[in-house]
Order: sequence, then structure tokens, then C-alpha cells
Amino acid sequence: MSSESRLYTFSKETKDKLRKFRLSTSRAKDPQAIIYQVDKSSLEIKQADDEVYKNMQELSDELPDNSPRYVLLSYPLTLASGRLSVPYVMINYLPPTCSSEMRMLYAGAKELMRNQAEAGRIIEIDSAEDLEEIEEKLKGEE
Amino acid sequence: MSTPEIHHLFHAPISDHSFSADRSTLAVARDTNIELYHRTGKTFKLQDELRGHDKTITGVDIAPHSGRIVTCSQDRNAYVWEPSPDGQWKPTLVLLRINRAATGVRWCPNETKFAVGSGARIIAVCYFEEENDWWVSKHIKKPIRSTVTSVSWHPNSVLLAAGSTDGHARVFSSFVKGVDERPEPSVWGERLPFNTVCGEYLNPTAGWVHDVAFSPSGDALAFCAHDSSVTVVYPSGADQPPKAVISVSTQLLPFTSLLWSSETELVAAGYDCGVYRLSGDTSGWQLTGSLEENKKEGGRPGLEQREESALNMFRSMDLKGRSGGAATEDTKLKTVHQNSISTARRYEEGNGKVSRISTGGVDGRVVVWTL
Repeated sequence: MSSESRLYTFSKETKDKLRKFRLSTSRAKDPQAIIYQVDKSSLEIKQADDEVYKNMQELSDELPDNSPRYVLLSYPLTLASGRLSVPYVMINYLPPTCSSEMRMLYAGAKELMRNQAEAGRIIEIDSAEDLEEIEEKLKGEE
Repeated sequence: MSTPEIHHLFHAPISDHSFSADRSTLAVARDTNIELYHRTGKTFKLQDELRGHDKTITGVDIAPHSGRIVTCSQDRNAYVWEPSPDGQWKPTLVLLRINRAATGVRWCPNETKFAVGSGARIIAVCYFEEENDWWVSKHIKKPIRSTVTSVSWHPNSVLLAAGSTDGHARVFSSFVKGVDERPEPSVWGERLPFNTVCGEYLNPTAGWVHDVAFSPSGDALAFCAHDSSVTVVYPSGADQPPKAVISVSTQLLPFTSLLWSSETELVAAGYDCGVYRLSGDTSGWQLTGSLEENKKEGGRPGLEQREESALNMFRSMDLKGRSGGAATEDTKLKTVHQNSISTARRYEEGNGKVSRISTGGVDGRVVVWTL
């Protein structure tokens, strides 16, 4: 539904950054992640902070307890077959304690975000601890 | 002991009641609504009704400073009612995320959080998150194994005592990062992340715990159980056995509510429809008496009364087939409350001692007692 694109906005800068991130991470040796949030008042989707997280532990510490976030993650994997693959996925982080308002906000922008970021697929998690099993999830799906 | 102030509000059970800080407003839970009464002279008049819950309200508490009212009900919800300048109350739903009824709610002393006990074996500790404009509830689950019947806060607003039908009275830490400041080390422990169990106490027969209360200093915990006993615990430090665990068994019916009137005295009320005192310290506790005046001793016991009672006795035997005394003595209880007391709360304090308490009961009366 393209109605969301009229509601949620991306600044040109964010779009460029998204593009760059996607292209640069396919050659990286370690996981790379950026956290995105939707600004409640302006309905703009932008980066939560300027850091690229290389460590899943750090990433799970940064995620807030009671607010949803989007995480774009690129994770280099060596599959059982020996093949090297770097899936680029979007993580929809939705803790159960967040308000209904926030849930609706993030649910509406989910598809838009995925298309803009050109991510492979969306993984839903509801607690920061689930990030530790992300490797298995990614491997299992391949 | 002067005469208690009796307010017979209506003929329905009052599961919980709460006074505002200036004691001029009384919030009473009446089935699915809260009735707010305003003091006019010596009586309370109905002023407002808070509607919102679908099922029986089980807990109500008014925060002393901000005037906010929190209510919880068997419909698994809690509402926070904010007073607005024009006298209307604005309700905010708090999603507790429990799947059973809520049994009781209390504001913490600094009014930033409140705790709701529930039949879902969970205590929901709720705090307000500014950035989301939303009340968030965090759950305390382990190791509660059955319904939580009552919750009580320690003066530092971090430690929470809970009584449960699994026979235990437990002390938890409900420290929430961002809302609470790190509490000072106390006899209950030092490093206290959320959901730490600082103490777990069983009463002698493992009966259901009806009510728990921290002493005014927070260094002792008392709880009353369904086996008609009151247990007082004096902890000595984290991970150490307590200094003393004293249990007093009474021959009365179980107590449903208790509170500390000073460091060495407890006031308890329950199914006996009366209010009782217990006093003691680390060396021992005992029941010291009732707050009721003995009505039989008042008045002139003169001969006429005895004659009257003889006449009445035969008359009632003839009319009603029973050889009781005066007709009223058979249908009315000798205590002020005519049915069990459900909650006892502090009414007036001075110099670290509570001087008056209020009790609400199943008979629809709220009585203010002078200790």
C-alpha cells in the first residue's frame, strides 16, 4: 500500500545511507547492524544513533526495553555446506511492554522500511535476548 | 479509647477503601465502580462515581501527594485516575498483561510506581514512561506459585513484600532502572536487580497469607495467615538467617488485614469483625487486646435490666421459640462492624506512631478508630 509513503518520510540523507550500508556490508567479515527508529512527532524514519554495531551483545544492550525499533542487520555466515553467505535482513523488535500507539506506528512503516532498505526478509523478535539466537535463525532459513 | 467514628455508607461489601491525603475524600470500591465520598461536617456524602471497570474492583489506592487514584479489578485491568482542575477524573488504562484477576494494588511511597497482585501468580509493577506517554508493567514471576493476595511497600520504594496463597510471604526488589534511585543497603540486601528475592518466609502451617506489612522503619516484616496466626520476621542481613521469626497463634478467626502502628505494635482485623492489637519486639509478640469497647460493661446494670431480660426471655421464648436475651442481641453482633473487615489502613499518624486507623468491611461500613 503506497499510502504509507505519504505518511512516513525518509530524508534524502537516510536513503543514501541505507543504500551505502547495503552495498558495503556484503563484503564485510563481521556482523554489521544499524538501529532505526520512527520519530513519533514528524513520522520520519531515521537512524537512532550514528553507530554501526559489530557485536550482537552491544546491539541488544542498546535496544530500549519498552519501545519498538527496526534493525538492519548484515551477518556473514558459513553454512553447513561450506558456502559463505551474507544475508541482509531487517529485524522488527517489538517488546510486549510497548504502547499500542507505538505498535501501530511501527507496524505501518514495516513494509515501507523493508522496501527502502532492500532487505531480504523481516525477522520478528520481542526481546533483546532473542538477538543471541539470530545466527541459528539465519542459518536455519537458508 | 474514644468512640469510633462509624460511617455506614451502603449495604454492600467494600473490598477496599482509601482516604485522600487530607482525609476529606474517601474512595470506596463498590462492585464495579468506585464511589468518592466527600466529608461534609461529620458525615461523608457521595460526590462522584468512577466507572470504567467491567468486573468487581478488588483494590483502590489514593496517592497522598499527587492525588491520583489507582484501581484494579477482576477484569484483569488497572486504571490510573488523574484529577483534572474541573473536578472530572480522567482514567488511563494500564495494560497489566495478566490473564487472571488482579487482587490488590498499592502505590509505592514516592508514587512513581504501583504494584498489582494477581491470580496469575504474577506481581505487575507499573511505572510511567515519559517517552512513550504510557504506563509500562514489569512482571515479578519467580518463585511465586499461587495467587498473590496482598502487596506492601518498604519505605524506600524499591522493596516490595507480597503474601500469597502458596503460604509464603516474600520480599522482592522492584528496582526499575531509570525510575528508582539505587536504594541504600538495608537488612534486606545490597545489590538488588529487579525480581531478586530478598527473603521468603513460611508460616508454621503454610496457610494462605492474607496480608503483609513492613514496619515503619522497614526492618521487620509482619504477615497474617489463614491459620489465625501473625508472624513477625526480623531479618539480619542478605543471605543470612533472620534474627528472629516470631509467630503468634490466636484463638480468634483469621485476620485479613494488618498494619504497624509503631515499631512495637501491630493492629490487625479480620473475620472476627473486630480490631485487635498485638505488641512485642524481637524477643516475642503477644495479643494485647481488642479496640472495641466492651458494651456490656457500660450503663447501669441495675435490677430492672435483669427483670427486663427475664420478661424478655420468656416473651421471646413464646414468640420466637428462642430463649435468648433482648431481641437485638441476637441479630446484631457485639462488634461495631457487622460483618468481616476487609481492609485496615492508616488514618492519622504523629511522632512515628499511628494514632487513628480506618477499617472497611463487608457490611458496607467504614469506621475510623482511635488507638
